[in-house]
Amino acid sequence: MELRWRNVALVAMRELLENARTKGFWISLFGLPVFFAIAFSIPLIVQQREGPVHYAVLDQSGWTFPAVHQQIVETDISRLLSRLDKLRADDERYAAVPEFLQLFDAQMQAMEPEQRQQAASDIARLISSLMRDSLTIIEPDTATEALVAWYIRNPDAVAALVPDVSLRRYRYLHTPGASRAALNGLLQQERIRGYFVIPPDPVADASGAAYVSRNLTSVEVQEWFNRQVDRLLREERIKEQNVPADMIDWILQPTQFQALRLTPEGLEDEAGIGDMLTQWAPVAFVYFLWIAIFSVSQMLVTSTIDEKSNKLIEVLLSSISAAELLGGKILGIAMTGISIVGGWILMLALLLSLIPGGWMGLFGTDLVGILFNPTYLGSFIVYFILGFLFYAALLSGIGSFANNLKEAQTLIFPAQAVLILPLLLMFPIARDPSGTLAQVLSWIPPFTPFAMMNRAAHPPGMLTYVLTTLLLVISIYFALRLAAKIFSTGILTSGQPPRLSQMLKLIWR
Amino acid sequence: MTAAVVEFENIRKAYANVQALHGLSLTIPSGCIYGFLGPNGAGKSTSLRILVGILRADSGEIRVLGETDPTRIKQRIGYLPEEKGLYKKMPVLELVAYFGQLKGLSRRDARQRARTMLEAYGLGKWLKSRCEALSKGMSQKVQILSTLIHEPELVILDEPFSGLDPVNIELVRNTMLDLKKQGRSLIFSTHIMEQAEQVCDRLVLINHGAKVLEGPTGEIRRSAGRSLTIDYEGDSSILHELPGIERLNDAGQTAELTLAPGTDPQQLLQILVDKLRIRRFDTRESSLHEIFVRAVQDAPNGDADANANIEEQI
Repeated sequence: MELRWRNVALVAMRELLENARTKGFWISLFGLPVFFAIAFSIPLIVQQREGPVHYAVLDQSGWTFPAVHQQIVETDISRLLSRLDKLRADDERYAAVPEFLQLFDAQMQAMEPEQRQQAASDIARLISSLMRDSLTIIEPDTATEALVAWYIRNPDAVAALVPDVSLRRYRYLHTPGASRAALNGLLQQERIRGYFVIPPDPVADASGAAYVSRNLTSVEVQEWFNRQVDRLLREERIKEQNVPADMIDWILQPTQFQALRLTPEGLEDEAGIGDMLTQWAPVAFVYFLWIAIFSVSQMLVTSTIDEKSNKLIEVLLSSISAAELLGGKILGIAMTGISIVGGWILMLALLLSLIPGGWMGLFGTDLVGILFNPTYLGSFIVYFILGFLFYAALLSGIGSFANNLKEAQTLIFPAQAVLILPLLLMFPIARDPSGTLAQVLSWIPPFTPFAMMNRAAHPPGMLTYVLTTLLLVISIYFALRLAAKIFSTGILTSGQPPRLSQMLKLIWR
Repeated sequence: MTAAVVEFENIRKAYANVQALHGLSLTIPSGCIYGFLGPNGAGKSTSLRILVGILRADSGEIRVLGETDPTRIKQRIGYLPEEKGLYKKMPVLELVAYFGQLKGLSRRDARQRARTMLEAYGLGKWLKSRCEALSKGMSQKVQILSTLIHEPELVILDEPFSGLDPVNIELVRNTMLDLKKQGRSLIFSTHIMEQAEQVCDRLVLINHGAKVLEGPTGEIRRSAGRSLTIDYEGDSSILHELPGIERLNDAGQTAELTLAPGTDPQQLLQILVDKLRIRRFDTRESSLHEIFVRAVQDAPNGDADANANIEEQI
């Protein structure tokens, strides 16, 4: 049958305007980004606003916790020095560093590396010892003493300057000589999140070690403290075997694989958080692609049911053909979807560019650049349109038999179940974008948009792009033809929706 | 009434296992109001859907406004189906103009005509209101205007009076008569005979998907013979023995008799006064309602019950 594009365009424009008049359109356009912004921001805000976790220790051995604490402070001092190294490269930010710290930094810079390490270790020992006795330096004379006093008296300032310092998340509450009952009392009063019990001889037998808390699901502090103690105890056990100290360090040295990225030019480059985000960005795109296709396809079904229940179908079909009506509806809803998705992208770009300090500082990378990466954005737009056309054809054809939303839910459930699969496989494909699963799914038209979008971080060859897209376009053509056939009958029916066998009979007729 | 606007030749249509039309043939002349009558499920709506190209006949030949494929001339037809509605959220002016555009009018012409027609029908204040704000009567007017905005040559109204109050029935009836005066052809489907009697020049009665009666309204009524109503006292057995009676409906004190063509009521009166005490004796032409009921009852039982639901099946 001849398709009159003027009619298709008229239906499409009406559909777009009708949708733009609904609250749902504006809620989708603004509500979803706001929802996601809130969903992402809340954990960050909560984490930032949430004070550090306080813990106490009942050390029955008498020596374990002092050693562990010194180790913790030593790590913090080492992180402080690294932070000062970074800040020194930025004059403006370094100028904001307290004067005594700049002086301390200058003194440390003047030392040889070994001396510097020893000095840091000595400072950590001093801080740890003072803290465990609830002491501090009232009137510091030197830059080092000023640093010690600052660390003990201003843990919040330390955490603000050095984001990865342990003080930011965990603070030791000094409870000298406190019994288990007394510590339980502190727990009841919620002055501490939990306390650790270290047995009398943990090197020989650590089976009495315990962590007591009211909330055992909060395991963060437990795991962190466990790691600190564990390393110390292993070190002590090795020492007992008369292994030299430098060999102990060597034995306990963890193996860390440095992540390197092979650039398109064939060079190995150190992978930063920006690379990680670029790598995982397609997963976010797939997620939004799924939401966009799912919700926009639903809009099409709802719109068809609306016309059916408002008894408009016969009037429309007396003016235009079923294919023109279906084509116009799909086009109109696609334009609605593109408006919504385009709105999301623009809003996200605006948000990211408006607060570069926040987001750039948080992730240390150009998120706007990732968002507008041509491969990602291009794939997203192309696969949104193709994916929508494919699922719109399926859902509108089947959904046209429904008289209300409840019937539609039942009828289109099998098609929607197919749509859920790519969501479940999103992470496995992202972990191995060139793996068998990703490759196979790329060639199955219902999954092509999601699988290929997911592989965008490591795009396959151009031939794969062309052939899989061609296969998808051919599938869309047949799906639309089939949908038009079903739709022309479905929209005129009322009463009980047909059984699957009747629907198949109709398709093959 | 010269050339035919619609010609059906042996049209058949089946839904699943139900035969909706059994070789329907008819010719509808132009410039008249043509009544499509029949009980529910007779096949009226199916015929009209085939006529406007929404459905395709399984077999047979069709010619509408000289065209064998009705889908090619949708712009020359105005169709108001039995089940009709409006886009609730759409402003009234936009809606009427939209249907005008779908029928081939330019956006400008469609809006201009829609505004003129809505104002003429007393809906000038509602142009920018959403359709959901309209009363049922106003909605019906908007639906009719949406059907007529492109000034179709052939207007098809399927049960246009259903659910209307007397004032709006009058309005629709006058609109139909105006259209006829303008030289348009109208096809009007109903199962309420009084309405058809009032406006139709010709009519066809369909039952079980086949034509039962067809012709000018007056001719059908005349050829159907006269009816006689009597109020009486006495033994009614004589009523069953009367000559020239096609049908008798005896209620005890009152009886309705359908006279065979050529029967003289005066002769019947002479017979009756000898046997019964007659209090009333009233003869008149059979109404369409009586003709309709008679024709439907006389028709062989087909798949009438199934037909009632055929449009609910594939």
